[in-house]
Amino acid sequence: MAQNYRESFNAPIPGQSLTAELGARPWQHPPQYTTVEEAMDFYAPRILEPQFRDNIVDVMELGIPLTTIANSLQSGGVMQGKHSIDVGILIMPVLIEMLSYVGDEEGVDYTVGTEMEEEDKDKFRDSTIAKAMRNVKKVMEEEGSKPVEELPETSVEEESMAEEPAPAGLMARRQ
Amino acid sequence: MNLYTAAAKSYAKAVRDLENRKQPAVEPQKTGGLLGRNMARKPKTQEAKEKQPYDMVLEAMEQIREYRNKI
Repeated sequence: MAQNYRESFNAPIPGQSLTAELGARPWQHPPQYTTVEEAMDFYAPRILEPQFRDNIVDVMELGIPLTTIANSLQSGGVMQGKHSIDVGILIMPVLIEMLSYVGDEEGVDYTVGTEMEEEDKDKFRDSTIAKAMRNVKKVMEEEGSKPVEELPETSVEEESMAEEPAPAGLMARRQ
Repeated sequence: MNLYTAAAKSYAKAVRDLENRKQPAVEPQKTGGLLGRNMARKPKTQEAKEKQPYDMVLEAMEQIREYRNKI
């Protein structure tokens, strides 16, 4: 619950987009590259740049899917006013393909982001666990023993008081 | 599965379209009957021949795939 509050504080404040004058942001201007070809010509040399390749390989090795990387790339382009969001969405498959080319060339075991997740056999649904708990509780009630949840709880203070040895020594308080 | 992101969806669609494009379109056989129509393809107009942005995307993807296959 506390985490949810923290997340909500990270969100933009309503009306934050109106705090700058209209036209002050790059994406509020006409885009620099208006066609798919121009946008692809913008990205292709940058993706194949040696320094960028090294960085992107590191990210791929961390297990970040190529779809996420491509999405970040095109979002950055939109924010810089390089192209419109429509062109960004259109060229995303090309970006993913280029990234996979880089990954293949560098021999990285990357994930594209469209793979089906393998079902974890050790993982149970919450509903299954709840059902099993209910069954256990029922069986325990039938047998006459108290379920674990209903055992009398001893407070932590009581336990600590009980376990504490009697004070001894010169500095010990007399009761 | 991460198919709910726009990137994953657009990539999956592009790959599917690329595969479909490779298969030659087969004209349906005219079987006759009451609803029999002339299924012959109409000559393409000049406007239809112009490449759409998505065609450019598929072409670029095909080129990159060729390079990938060479690795």
